[in-house]
Amino acid sequence: MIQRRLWGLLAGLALVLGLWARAEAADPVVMDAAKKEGKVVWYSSLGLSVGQKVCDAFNKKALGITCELARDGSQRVFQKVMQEASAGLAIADVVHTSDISHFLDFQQKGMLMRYLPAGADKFRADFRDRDGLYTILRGTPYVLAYNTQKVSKADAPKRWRDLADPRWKGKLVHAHPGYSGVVMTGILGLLPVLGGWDYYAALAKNNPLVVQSAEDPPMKVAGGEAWIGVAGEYNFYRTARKGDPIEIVFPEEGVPFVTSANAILAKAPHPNAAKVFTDFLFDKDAQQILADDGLYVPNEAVTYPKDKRPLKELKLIKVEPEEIQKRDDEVKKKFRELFGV
Amino acid sequence: MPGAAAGTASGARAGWGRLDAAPAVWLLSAAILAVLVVAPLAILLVTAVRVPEGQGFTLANFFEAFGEAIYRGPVGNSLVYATSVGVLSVVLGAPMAWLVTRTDMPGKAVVRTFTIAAFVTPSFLGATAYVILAGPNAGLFNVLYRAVTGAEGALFNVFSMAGLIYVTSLYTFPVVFILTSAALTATPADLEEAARIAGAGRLAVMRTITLPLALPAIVGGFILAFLEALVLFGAPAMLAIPARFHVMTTQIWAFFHYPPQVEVAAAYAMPLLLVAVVLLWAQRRLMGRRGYATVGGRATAAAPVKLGPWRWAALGACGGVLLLSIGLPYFALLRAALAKAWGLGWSWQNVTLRNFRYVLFEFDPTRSAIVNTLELAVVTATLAALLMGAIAYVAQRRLITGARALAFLAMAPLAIPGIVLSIGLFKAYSRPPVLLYGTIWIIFVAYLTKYLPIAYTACHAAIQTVHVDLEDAARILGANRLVAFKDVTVPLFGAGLVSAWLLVFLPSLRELSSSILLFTTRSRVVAVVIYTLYEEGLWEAVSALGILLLGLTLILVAVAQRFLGRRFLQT
Repeated sequence: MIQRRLWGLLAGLALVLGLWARAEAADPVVMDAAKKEGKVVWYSSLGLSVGQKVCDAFNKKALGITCELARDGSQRVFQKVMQEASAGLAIADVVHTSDISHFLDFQQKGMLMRYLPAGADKFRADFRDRDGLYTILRGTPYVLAYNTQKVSKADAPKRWRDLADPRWKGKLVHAHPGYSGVVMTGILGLLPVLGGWDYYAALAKNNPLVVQSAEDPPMKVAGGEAWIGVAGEYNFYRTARKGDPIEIVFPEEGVPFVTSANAILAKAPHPNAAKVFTDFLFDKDAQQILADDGLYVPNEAVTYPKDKRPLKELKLIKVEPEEIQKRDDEVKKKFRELFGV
Repeated sequence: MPGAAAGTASGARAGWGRLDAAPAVWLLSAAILAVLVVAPLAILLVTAVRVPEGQGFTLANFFEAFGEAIYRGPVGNSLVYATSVGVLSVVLGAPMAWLVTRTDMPGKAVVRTFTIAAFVTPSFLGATAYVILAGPNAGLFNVLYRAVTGAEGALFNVFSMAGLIYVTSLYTFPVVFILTSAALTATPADLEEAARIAGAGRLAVMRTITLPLALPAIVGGFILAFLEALVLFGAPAMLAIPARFHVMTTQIWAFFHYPPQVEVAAAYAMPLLLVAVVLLWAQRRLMGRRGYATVGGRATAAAPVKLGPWRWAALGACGGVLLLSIGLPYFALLRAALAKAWGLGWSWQNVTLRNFRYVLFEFDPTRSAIVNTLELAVVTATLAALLMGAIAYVAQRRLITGARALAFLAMAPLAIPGIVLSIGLFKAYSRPPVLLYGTIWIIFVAYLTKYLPIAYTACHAAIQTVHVDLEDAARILGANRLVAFKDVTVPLFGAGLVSAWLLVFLPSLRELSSSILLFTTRSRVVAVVIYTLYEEGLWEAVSALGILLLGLTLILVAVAQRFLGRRFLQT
């Protein structure tokens, strides 16, 4: 008992010392202004438990700034930011959604503040941005996964094209690009690799269950309603980790890399607190929380769970945000033509 | 004219009783209603004809919305869907209401309680449970069917129009049930007994007395169920999209997706409004000239119809419906709620209470959401019942010209999908002078607006059974309108108000479609928390919270039944 307390005390002491050092590192003018602002409001589509952990970790630093997390799905974060901006309400400071094309919209409307977090120059190349308006906070490959109780490892598909095999007719689940940014990015990444829409026309013949969000396929595969599903690796990874019978496959043709950005709003009501928080978000501690949850992050100082494949082993397909913005309508129309919704 | 009505007040008594409050009440209600309904409707209309991102007005949004065949298809789908749901809700709800109010069927209280439990089940929760029960590949029904018959395919595929209609109806029939049973209880059984004594057979009594008496309520229930299905999002999103078709609400949601086409969405919502107008007009044509008032109020509790051996068959039928709507879906949810990972299926190693602990104690937003939800439901229900009681009274008694228009306004929100309503509300209340956004009060306004129609329907059905002669008698005896209202109408009408209150309170516990766009960190509600967990893929936690919501409802219903006794939902 006493021993535990002693450890706690020591840990606290270490934390205080660590804080001291970190506080010194940050720009003192910004830090002082941030303390006066007192809080930072983060609109985030990061998974709820992870987002909360990040906020709690920030609050534990006791910088005199409180992190307030407004967690919501990507589309609604986007919608809320837009509708608040159109009403002239400045509520959110920092915004994170999984759909990178949202940030192009913010950018075009001049809604973003130019800011790069400390250490951004050392980030992995896949994550680096070009204009310094937003930074990639996390990424996940677009993969397929199967139910291990229904499909044996030998039978499991190894390539994207295998999904078009008639043997999987009525056994597939696919999320909708109109609702899920992950799927939109995934399809755009695969189109050139698989030689255009013919692949999707063949896939449509297999009559997959079309669901809305990228969180749906893992549930359908876990329950056995579908045997094989397509979504973000992160979506499957978290379900599998609970113990559900799911195995992830990184198809041979390559996996589109879905990146999600984070940015400070130009009209942030707490601009300095937003900078301090953004630095924290890309610093090792916060990035480690994301990595522990199964996300790939830009900061290379983190360690990944043992069951995660290292990014450098994967054949990543890069998809430019402009491409998503430009071809959004085309993909939705073509998807609707082929799949009916 | 308000003045004209005021002038009719009798001056027999002194003091405040001299003042006839009807015009004042009417004016106040009219003002509140105008703000609640006209503001978002006007915004919706203006948005539909506005040039996107520009100045001026245009009809291009309508061409965009209805120009392509793929966008017109969902309109037909929605009509088929809503009509079928309305019919099925009546087929299920009306006979059950009759059985519970007019017969000696055993287990009435249980049937009533579980019907109300169906009423508060969010449709997306019911739909997800049915994916587990009736999914073509892993659904329990179909697995069982294949095991028993050795067949290959599926007995029932929930991902279909039929599946969608079926699942939705299981959670909308309670509206018909509650309205019909309220109407049946409020009308005395004397008439039926008189007919029986006069020699009419049971069927003749049913056809000539009972059915006509209950008809306004049944038609009202049909319209509510129809319109609820028309603007429903949760169940169609989970069942129609996998079945490869859109209904109007899922299409509207698609318009809101990146890049959002708010103007096209608003234009696309217009037929919903049109359908509501036509329905309400048809209702008035159908019902308008009939008088249903039964002078005695709820005087006699007549002897119930003896069903003989059929009483058990009747209970079996009610039980069957409730098994499909509550029993099996919540069994599926319980199974997931108690699982570490529900994909692993039944086994003792997989059983845990961790999910309940998580949603109650570890997951921060739950408790504040429960408090918010209860607060919102109580305040909304109280205000809606009082406001609509007043308006239904004034409209039905034709105290003031224009009251009918108010009645229509009260019904108009039915035709606005929750997501469209919340956009209108957001625009109306997110800047000074009325800055409600960021508090639970904007959600309150949304709920109040959304549930005006249901409160109005309940009040309207109740007031129709209290004959104006009773008040007139009181007024001839010297009471002014207010006193007559207080001493005669309120006691007779009170039960109607209570059921209106409950009809608003209960669905407020599960409202999702407008809350989801209006909530902020400090104003979460239970349905939003459930949906957030669902989006996270935490199916086990979703189930646990769904079961807690059911438990909370059953407790509240039990308490209400204890305190209100026979007046509970007028039965």
